[in-house]
Formats: sequence, structure tokens, C-alpha cells
Amino acid sequence: MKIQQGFSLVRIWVYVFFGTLLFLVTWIWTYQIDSTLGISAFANGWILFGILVFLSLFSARKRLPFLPLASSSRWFLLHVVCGFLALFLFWLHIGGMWSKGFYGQVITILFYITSISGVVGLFIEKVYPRQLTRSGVEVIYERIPMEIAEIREEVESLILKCTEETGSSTLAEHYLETLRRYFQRPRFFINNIFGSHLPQHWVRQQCMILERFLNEKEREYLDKVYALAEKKRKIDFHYTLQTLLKTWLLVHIPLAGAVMAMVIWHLILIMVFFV
Amino acid sequence: MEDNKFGHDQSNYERPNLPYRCGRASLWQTPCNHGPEVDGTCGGTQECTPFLKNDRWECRREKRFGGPCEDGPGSGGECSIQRPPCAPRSTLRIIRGRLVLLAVSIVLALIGTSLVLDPKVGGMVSISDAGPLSKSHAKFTEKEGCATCHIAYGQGPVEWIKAVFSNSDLSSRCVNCHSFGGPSFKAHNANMSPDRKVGDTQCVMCHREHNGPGMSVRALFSDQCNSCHKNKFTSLEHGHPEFSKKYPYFNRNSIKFDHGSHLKKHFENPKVSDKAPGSCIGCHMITLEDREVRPSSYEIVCAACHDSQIKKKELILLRLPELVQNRIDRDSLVQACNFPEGNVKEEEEFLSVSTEQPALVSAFLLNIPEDDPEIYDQPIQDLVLAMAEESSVPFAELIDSQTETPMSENLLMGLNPEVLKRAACSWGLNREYESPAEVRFGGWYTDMLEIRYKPSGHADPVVKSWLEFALAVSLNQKEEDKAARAIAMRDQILSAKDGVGGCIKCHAVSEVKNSKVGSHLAVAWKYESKSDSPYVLYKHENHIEILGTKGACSNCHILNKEVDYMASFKEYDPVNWVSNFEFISKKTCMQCHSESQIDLECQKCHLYHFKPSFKKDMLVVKAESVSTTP
Amino acid sequence: MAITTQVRPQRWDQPFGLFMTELDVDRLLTIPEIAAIEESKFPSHCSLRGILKNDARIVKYSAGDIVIREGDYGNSAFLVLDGSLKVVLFPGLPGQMLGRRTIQKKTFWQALKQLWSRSKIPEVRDVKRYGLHAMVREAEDLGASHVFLQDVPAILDKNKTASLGKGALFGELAALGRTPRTATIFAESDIELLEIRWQGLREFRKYDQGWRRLIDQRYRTNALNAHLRATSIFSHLDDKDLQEVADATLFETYGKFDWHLTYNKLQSQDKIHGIKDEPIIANQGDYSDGILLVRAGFARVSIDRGNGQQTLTYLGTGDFYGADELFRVWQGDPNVGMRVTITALGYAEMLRVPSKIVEKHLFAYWSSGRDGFRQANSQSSFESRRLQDFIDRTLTDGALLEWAVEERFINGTQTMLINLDRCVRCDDCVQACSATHGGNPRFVRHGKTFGNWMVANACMHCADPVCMIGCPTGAIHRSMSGGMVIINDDTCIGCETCANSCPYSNIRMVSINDEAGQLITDPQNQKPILKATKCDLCADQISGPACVFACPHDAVSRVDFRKIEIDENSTGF
Repeated sequence: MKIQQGFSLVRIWVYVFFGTLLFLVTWIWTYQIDSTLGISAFANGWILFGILVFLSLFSARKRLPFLPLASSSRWFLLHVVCGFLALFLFWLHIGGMWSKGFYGQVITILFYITSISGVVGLFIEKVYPRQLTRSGVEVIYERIPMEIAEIREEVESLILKCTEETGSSTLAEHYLETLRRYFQRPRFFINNIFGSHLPQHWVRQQCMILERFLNEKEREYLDKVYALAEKKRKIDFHYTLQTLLKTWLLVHIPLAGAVMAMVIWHLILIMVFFV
Repeated sequence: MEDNKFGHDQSNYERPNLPYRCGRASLWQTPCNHGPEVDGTCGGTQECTPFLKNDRWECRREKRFGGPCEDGPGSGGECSIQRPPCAPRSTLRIIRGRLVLLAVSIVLALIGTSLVLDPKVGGMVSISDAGPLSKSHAKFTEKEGCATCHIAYGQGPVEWIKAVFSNSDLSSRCVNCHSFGGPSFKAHNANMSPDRKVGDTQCVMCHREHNGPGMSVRALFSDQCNSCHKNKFTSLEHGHPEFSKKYPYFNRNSIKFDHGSHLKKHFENPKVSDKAPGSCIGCHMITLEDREVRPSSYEIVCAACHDSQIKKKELILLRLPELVQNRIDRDSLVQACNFPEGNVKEEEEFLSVSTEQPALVSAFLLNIPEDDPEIYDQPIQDLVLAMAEESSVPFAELIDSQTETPMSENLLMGLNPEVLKRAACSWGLNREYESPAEVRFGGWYTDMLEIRYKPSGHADPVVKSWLEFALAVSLNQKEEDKAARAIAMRDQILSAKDGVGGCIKCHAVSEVKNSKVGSHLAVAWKYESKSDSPYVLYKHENHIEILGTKGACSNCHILNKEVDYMASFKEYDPVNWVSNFEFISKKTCMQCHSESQIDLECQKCHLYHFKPSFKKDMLVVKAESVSTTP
Repeated sequence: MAITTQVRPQRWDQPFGLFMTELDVDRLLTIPEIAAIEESKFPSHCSLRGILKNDARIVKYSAGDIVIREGDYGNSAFLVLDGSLKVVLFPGLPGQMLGRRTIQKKTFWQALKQLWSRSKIPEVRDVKRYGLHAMVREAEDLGASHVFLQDVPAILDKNKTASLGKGALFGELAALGRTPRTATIFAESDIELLEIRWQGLREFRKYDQGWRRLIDQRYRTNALNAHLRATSIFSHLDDKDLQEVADATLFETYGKFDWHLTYNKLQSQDKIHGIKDEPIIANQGDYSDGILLVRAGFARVSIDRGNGQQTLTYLGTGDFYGADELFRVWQGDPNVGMRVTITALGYAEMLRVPSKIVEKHLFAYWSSGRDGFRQANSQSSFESRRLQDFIDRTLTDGALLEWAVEERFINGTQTMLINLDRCVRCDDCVQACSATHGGNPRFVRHGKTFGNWMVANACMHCADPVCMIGCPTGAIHRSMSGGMVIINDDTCIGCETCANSCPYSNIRMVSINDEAGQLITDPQNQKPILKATKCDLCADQISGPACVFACPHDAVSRVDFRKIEIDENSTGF
């Protein structure tokens, strides 16, 4: 049994090859139609429409995991290849990068944003998982609030215990002044997007500056708090990256829906008024 | 993280398929074990539902949630862990679904609004707007709007559905305003008989709208042309056939102008060289025309040298010939001429005052042989008597009887009847007539034995009429003698050397073939445009602009010294003709227009449409609408 | 909160045979094999009559009908009451002839119906089904149709067969050892069988000396022979020689039969220190005294490396080790000892075939033929080469396997392995799982991780399915086709035995709701009715495991760790 560590290169190249082939065939066809004074926008338009329908069917496919509709990974790969193909076909269809009519311009803008969000999504889907793995913890997105609450409770009980045991409130004060805010909810969202080391530095700094004011006993507690803060930092990292991994679809899919609605209306208008 | 958190007795399944997540968790508090209900209400207000067993309330908290709680249920059977309900939040997946719905609904709403509201009325942009029209179309469609071109516009959904399944036929709407020299939907607006079947053409094949204020016309490249044309090529250099043999001098000039003799002989002549033009543009107006370059008018080009020659060549209408005997009734003559009694005395022996032959014109009119006095004696003298009696009337009658439409008025225009009568009276008495004054500016005059016409200058209408008359009567003469006389008259009048006015020295006479009437000769009075290649485009101006006025013309138009230019004008056949200039071949153009220099696509030199124009009523309608708008 | 109630199911609520009457039990008690049982040894809650009535049933087959098929997992043994059967010996009948029945896959329409038929409420059950389910069981357990063999004489002509007559017991070892059936058995004439489910068999063996002896003896004569015959190196032997081998073979059991119950706890408490605590079967460098065959369980194959042991591979049921070393010794190389250490992973049932017997029946055979020697050499060198391949693996290459062995994931045949470097945490797998299971996920996308690999909390469909031990009703069972472990929700009584048995926490107890979303509880004590749930490998889905199928990034795979190869020909994309 072989474990795929990624899509088979062969498969990718086959798909890219067929995608390119389809584009070239459409291109040549368009050229041929133009040569005979036909209206090539029909030909490449229908092909583009077919590709767009196929692209949106990926969403339907995800809702039908019980039907033997080829594996999702194949669909994904085809979705990516066809996504790029659609962009090229789109340019072929509108004969440039920008459309002239208002309606066309709206479609173009929506299509571009959808495409760009798709490319961004693809990028983060390929980059973020490794970063998440390297963080050293693994957490289910829905459980993050629970984890953070748990850590917070643990930290707070540690600090209470420390205060009780040592009679010193230094750690507690520092917690109330600075750390409490950190433990409240995920922090450093923006820094985590870019993989910044700032959060790590911050956590260490906050514990370091405290060290000289503590005695041996308190330091033991501080070490525990530091460990928990580190753990929380990693969960924050997961929170940020997983949030992005999920929310890019909030742009991509609704806009794709809008594009499809507009494309269908465009098709209707063409059928009614032009053909 | 400790893995046992996910032990079967520690945790539940994560259910990302559920629509709600704990509201407490969304505030980063500890979520409850139960989680929200499917309807979105909080399911975690209490940990369990205690059960009354043997009068004791037992905690029913599940093991994976920690088992029975420490405190146990209260005395009333209520769970001891009570929380205020949270407000569960939708999961990202649900939000995503709503956003999809929202996005699609916004689009549908915009489409709906654009359907219901006219963009102008609604004051908002129509989402269905296909784009702005070109400036000209925008103006002309103001009144009817989209329906000008789109039949289904403004119709109900039923019509729309019909429209989907029927041809919208946009092109048929174009010809509501546009018209062409030929059928609108045939290639090149011409009924050609192509070797292979070419379907009807449509305007939308090339012309698109909604592309902004500028007209959007598809540029035709060789590929498009090649798709129909059998002779396929890509550019002038590669594959364009050689120009036809006489290109571009297909037709004989209407004005005989021998560039050879003028340029090489006359203009060099020191006597007239000061009047000669400096270069081609001295005579040719290059700035006015695209393809055809006309010469300037006679007055500018020819008059300086040739004007004086015209007046010298006169027409002799009638010459009193040598007569055999007096056949005029003296009484009638006296009465007609109102001679004083006794002034007119009978001569004993008749001795003709003239020894000439009759003029060819009158010979033709009277149908008399000019060399036999025995025969023409009587008709001439009858005519003289008639002239004495009725002045020009007998001439007019004679002339009018020759043609279907009377021409005498034009032919005899300006003929003074009194002078004519007096001359006839003199001639009746076998005397010469002495003209009272010289005709200096041309016109009819009678002198000694002749009635003559002196041309007043270029484009004299009487002279023109006489040429027309001579040409007209020389045809269709049934009688052999008369035909010979008509031709003799014609030849004299049309003679470049002796003919009246010498018109034919410059104006070409060509045989015009007409299947109905039969062929006849025609004089090219005007410079005739001979352009019959509607699909060819050439701009002299552009070329001269680049090449400069000096050498520009001779770059392409090379004088051919070998050719006897005038020879062909001796005959009336306009086809058999050689120009003064060497024919222009592809090579001439390719000096500059090779692929490596200035490449020529088909459309650079060829037009697609044949005589494109607008329909009259469309212009009227527009004019009306313009006039009504203040 | 309104609570729907239902009587908590009891052990024999679901008898094995629907139509077993007291008369039948009386009749059975006259059968010599049963009559010999000392009824008094049985405890009152588990009487012999009770067992016969509830854990056994009388089934009838016509001549030619297949009773058990090779490769099937079965949880019952058969006692021949009347008639005779034939056992098809190695190499067995082709699968097609066995009329292999696949699980009732959904039709396309049925599959599509899941789009809208699934409930929004978690864990909804139709309570009425539980009442009606006796009939369902009948249809399921008795099997609406028996598959029969065409042209029995031709089969007898072409295959080696053994006969079973009246009073013969078969299938008991497969049932007890949780191993697949080793041979196909079909009815030679019209027969009547007593089918005893393994719970009943277990009680017989537990409380009756005669049966224990009988089973152990049968093990030697039937199963051992079959096992040896199924082992490729002994497949050439005739019955007599094989018997000789079998007679000489030593049984050895290492580790604890119920390792799984304590493993997790001990491991989490750091009381197990990996390989050091594993019972040693053979030590590296020791004199090799025979070929080791794994009868059941798992054995780790390792070598000394630095100050530790490097795991090369592991042996599962049917695997053997040691022929290469023995052969070299036989060839005259005196300095050959065991090249590896073999230890029991939790529990291992080993067979040791002594070297003298091996030399006589194996090596002699290898070198007897004309090209026997070459064959012997090639056999030996193949094994040697394979071993060398394992030894040559870098620590990095072997690390995943090492970890899997340590965590006992080797038990899984369909372990859900997630490549975290590719997983975008989209939960599409969980969504797909829930969509194919009536709106309920059947695994948790979380679990132990090693580097970028995560074994998720999904049923691994173990080779040694310890979860099945102790199920009082047989609700958890191996599918007759495919071998995946599935739970019959209708017969599950929610006792949590399986969930507690699973060392990987892959079986989860859920409280169930009715269609209105109300918790279903036991009316007697208001405790929620629990059901054991787990991955069923989408046995009834046409698409196969939905999780793998639904992963857009090829991050999920269901694997058997021993067969894993990382595909080098793939990209990080």
C-alpha cells in the first residue's frame, strides 16, 4: 500500500496537459471561427460556461460524499486546473483583461476576486498545514475555545495556589496587569498570519521580566505558567491559521455563487437578445 | 496535549455538521458539555436531568462528562449546576451558506430591479446594461431605446422564452437605417456567383455594439478574406495576384491629352514654355480626391495655349454654290425682299456669282450632291427664295425634319433672321452679300456667299449642338446617298483640324454600345470618372504627403515614350487603347509595401461594403426629431 | 424534558437461533458430544440449557451448500449433528466459486437519498426498529440464501479435500481465536448442524474439561494442520508428513490474552517501556532451533542498534520467521544465530516447528528435486534479502513503523492515517462521515501524532479485533465479507464492553434520541440508552470509505502499517 504524500506528479501533469490542451483547442477554434467571420464568443463562451459549472459542481460534490463521483482529491485537482483554465478562457472570451459593459465589468470584478481568492486559498492550503504541523500541537478548531478556557482556568488556579502558598502576590499582580488579557482569548492574530516570532518573544519576555522578583518557589509556578502560556500561544497560532483556512472560503464561495448567478443571467440575455 | 482528552469516555464526537456552536465558547468561556440544540437554543442550562429513585434524586450526568457531580441534585430534583442560557452562534459553515444565499440574492435583486425599473426612471445603474453604445448609435436609438435593435426588449416573459428559441436576427434591424448598393446580407453587398457556397452574411459578424463610444468593427485580416476567396494569400507581397493588365488605365481618357508630346515637345517650346505647368500638380488636383486624381478645369489647364484656336474654326451652314441658271421667280423674290421696283432688273445672261460647291451641311440637309449643279440648282434656289421669304424658318424646318426631337433651336441659336433674309435676297439676285459688320466675339454671320458660325470660345453651346446633330444624323440613314452625305458632314464637323471649334482635337469620341438603340457615337464633353472598382481603396494624398510633391507622381506614373497615344483616338473604340503611362504593376507598390516594410493587409486597400449609405427616411426622421427639439 | 423509555436489553434478549425450543434443547442434550458435558459445572446465570437455547441454533444445509468460506471471519463454531461435509484444503476454491457475497451496498438511489433523509438531530434512532428486530436478525443471521457449489465432483477432483462426519466440530478455532476461517467447508449431503456462537463456545470451553480437551486436540489436528498447510513452506507436504510436522510443533503463548484492557492505562502511566517489557520469543544471536510461525497476535522483529532496539517489521497471523538461518546451519555454516530479536506485542500465539523436522520435511524437499537446491537458495536468499532491506532502512524511514508498533497501530488493517502536512483541517472527512451515517460522524479527527502523521480516532478494523471479546450479544462482529468490524446497532445493548476493550478509544458510546430530538432513556432508572458507535468503513456505501473519498488533499488514507510505503512519486502539492 502506498501512502500519497501529495498528488501524484503524473496526475498533475496529465490534468495540466489536458487543461492546456482544452485551452489550445478552444483558442484555435476561436481563431478558426473568427477567420470565417463567425461569432467565436459563443464557442468559447459555452466552453467557459461548462468549466464554470464544473467548478461550482465541486461544492455539490462535497455535499454528495456517498455517491461514487470520483474522489474529492481528483475533484480538487481538477478544480484547481480548471480554475486557472477558466481564467484563461475568460480572457479569451472577453478578448482582453477588462470588459466594457457595466454588466460585464461587474462579472469581471467578481470573477477576478473569486479567482484571486481561489489562488490565495490554494496558496495557504499548501503552506499553512506544514506550519500547523510544526507548531507541535494539534487541535480541532471547534475545541479551541474550550482549550483556551481550560488553560486559563489552570493558570488562574496555579496563580491562586501560588499566592496562597507563598504569600506573595507578585505573580498574581503581574497576571492581573498583563497576562490576564493574553489568556482571555486568542491573541496575536495578525502576527500569526505572517508567522511572526513576536508572540513567542512576548510570552518569554513577560515571564522573564518577572523572574528577578520571584523566589525559588514562585519561580516553579512561573515555569508552569510559562509552559501554559506557550501552549496557548501554539493554540493561538492554530486559531489564526485555521481561521484563515476556513474563512477564505467565505469570500470564494459566495462570490462564486454571485458569478454563477450573473453568468446564467448573461446567458439568458444573450439567448433572448442576441441569438 | 494529552491524548486521553479524546478517550471514548472523555469526549464526544465533534460534530461540525451541526448548525450552532456554543455561545459561551464564542466568548472564549468553557463551553457546556451538551452544546446547543439543533434549533439554536442553549442546551446547557443544566448538566443533567436528575432522576427520582426511591425518594432520592440521583445525578444523571454522563460518565464522559465527569459522572455524577459532587453536590448532587437539589432537594427539588433540580440539577445543582445551573447556568444562564447562552446565545448559540452559527457555525462558519452556516454563515458561509448564508453568504452564498446573500450574494446570489443581491445579484437576483439587482437583475429584478433592472427588469422592473427603467434605468433612467429608477435613477440607478441597470445591472443588465450590456455596455454603452457607440456615439452615433446612441443618438439614433435615443427615442426607441433598446427595442431599436432588440425585438424582445420590453416584452413579457413569454416573448422572452420565444426569443430564446428563435433567431433574434439583429442584422435585420440594422438595415432599417443602413442601406447598400447591393443586397445587404450578401458578401460584399453583391450578387456574385461564388465558386463555393457562401452563406448570407450578417452585420453582427463584424460589427459589435455595447463597446463604448468608439465604433467596434472587427478588423478583417487575410484569414477572414481567405475563408471565402478562392485565391488565398496573406499580404500584397505574398500571393496577391498581379494587377490586371492595364491597371489603372482601363478606360480611354475622355480628353485626349498626350502627356508625351506636351511634356517632351510643347512644354519645352520656348514660345509657350512660360505657360507650361511646373509639375503634375500644376494640372492635377491631388488634394481633392482619394483614388482618382482629376485634372483641373479647361480654363486653368488648356486655355492659356488653346483658347485662341477654337474661334478660328468656323461652321459653314450654307454656301451659295455655282448655279446653272436662275430659277427664282423674280416677282416672288421682289415681293419677299420688298425690293424697290426697277431696282431689280433681269439679266440677259445668267452668270453665277459663285463658283464654289455647296456647303456639306446644306448638301446634307437638302440631300443634294455637292458636285452636280444640274441637280442642286433647283433646291438651292428654292431654299434661297424660301430664306428670302421666311428667313431661317426653312432651315429650321429642314433641320427638325432630320431628327425625332427638333434640334433647330439650339443649332440656329443666335442666327439673326434679318441678316439672313437680306443675304438671301442678295443671293436671289445672284449677288454677293456684303456683311455690315465683322463678328468679333463669335456667333452667326453671313459673309459674301456663306452663312457661317464663329465659335465664341470653349464650350460653345451651338457648336456642341452641331456636333451632337452631326453624330445623331449620321446614324440610321436609310437612303444610301443621304447616309454618305451625313457621314461626310459628320466627318467635317468632327474633324479635329477643320471641324467647328476643333472640339474633337481634345474631346474623345467613342462608340457607345447600346443594345436597345444600337451603337452610336458620343463625344466626351466632360472629364469622365471611370472608377468602377468599388472595393478598392487608394489615397493619393497620403502617398504624396510622404513622398513629397516633386517626385511623387513619377514614382508610380512613368511616361511611356514609345506609345502613340493619339493613334487610338482616331477610332471610336474606347477599349482598344493604350495610355501615355506605363501600367502600374505590383512591383510598383512593393517598392514600399513589402512585408518587411509597410505591410499591407487586405483591408488597407480593399473595402468590404458596396456603396454603404443611410436610408433616406431614417435621415428625415432624424432631421424631424432634431428640428422638434428646441 | 420528556423522555422516551425502553427496557434495557439483556444478555439473552437476542437469542442466536429464533426457533430454538426446549424440545430442541432436550434433543441436543442427547447428542454424545453434548451429553458428555457436566451440566453442574455451569453457573446458574449461564446454564448449559440457556447456552444451548440462546447461544446455539440448529441449521440445515443442502448438499453442495457452503457452510463456511475460507477467509471469512466468523464468530461461531459448528457441530455436525447429521450428514457429512467436505473441507477444501489449500489452495482452496476461487473466490468466485465460493459465491462471495458482498455487503448489501446501497443502490445509487439509496445512496443519493442520504442527501435529504439524514436527520439534523444527532444520533436519531427509530425506537420501533428495536422491537421488530427479531425478524431482522433472522434474515441477517440465518442468511436468506445459502450459496451452493456447482459440480461438486469436479471440485473434489481438482482440490484436496478432507471429510467431516457426524460429531465433528469445526470453526471453533476461528471463532475463538478471532482469526479468519482457514478453509471452505461445504455440505456433502443434506446436513444438520448445531451452530454455536463463540460466546457459547467460550462458556463450553471454560466450564467443561472434555470440550477444552476436544477443542485443543482439534486445534492440533484441524487448525494446526490447516495452518501449517496454509503456510507456504509446508504446502507441499502430504497429510502424513504434515501430521508429523504438526505432532512435533510446539505451542507457545506469549503475553496476555487481554493485553488490550490494561495497555492504554499502563502506557499512559509510563509503566510500559516499549520493547524492554515485551516477552521475548527469540533473541538475536541465539541458536536457532526452529521456524517460528505466528498463529495469532503480533510479534515484533527487531535488531540491536546502538543502545536500543530497532524495529524492522512485525509478524502477524500466518507469518513465519527463521527458515533462512536454519537453512544456512543445515548447509554447514556453524556461526549462524538468530539475526533478529522477536518479541510478543501484547499477545502472541506462536508455533515453533523444530529444526529437525524442518530439515527433514523442508530442506530435504528443497534439495531433492533437480532444481531444488536452486529453489532452496532462492527461497532462502529472498527472505534474507527482505530482511536486509528492512535492516538497511534508515532510522527515519523506519521511524513511522517503530511508532506504529509502539502504539500498537499495527493491529489495524484500515487505520486512518492523516498526513498533517497536507491536511487543511477542513473537516470534509468528518462531514462526509456524518453524511454517510445519517448525520452522525463516526470518528474524531484527532489522535496520536508522530511528525506529520496522525492516526485519527477511527476504527482501525484490527487484525486482532479485541473489541469483539466480551460482547454479550454479538452485536460487534466481523462482516462476513470484507472482514471489517461492524456493530449491529439493533442488537447493541450499550454495555460499553467493546468501547472499554478498544485500546485506541475508537468506539464511542452515544446517547440516542428519537426523531423529535428527545433523549431516549431507560424507564426504570431514567439513564440514557447508550449505543456503541464506530467507523464501519462505509460498508454499505457504494463509494467506499467516505473520509478518504472526501479528502480533497489526499491527506487521509486507510492503511495497514506493515504494507506502508511512502510514495516517492508524489509531490508536496
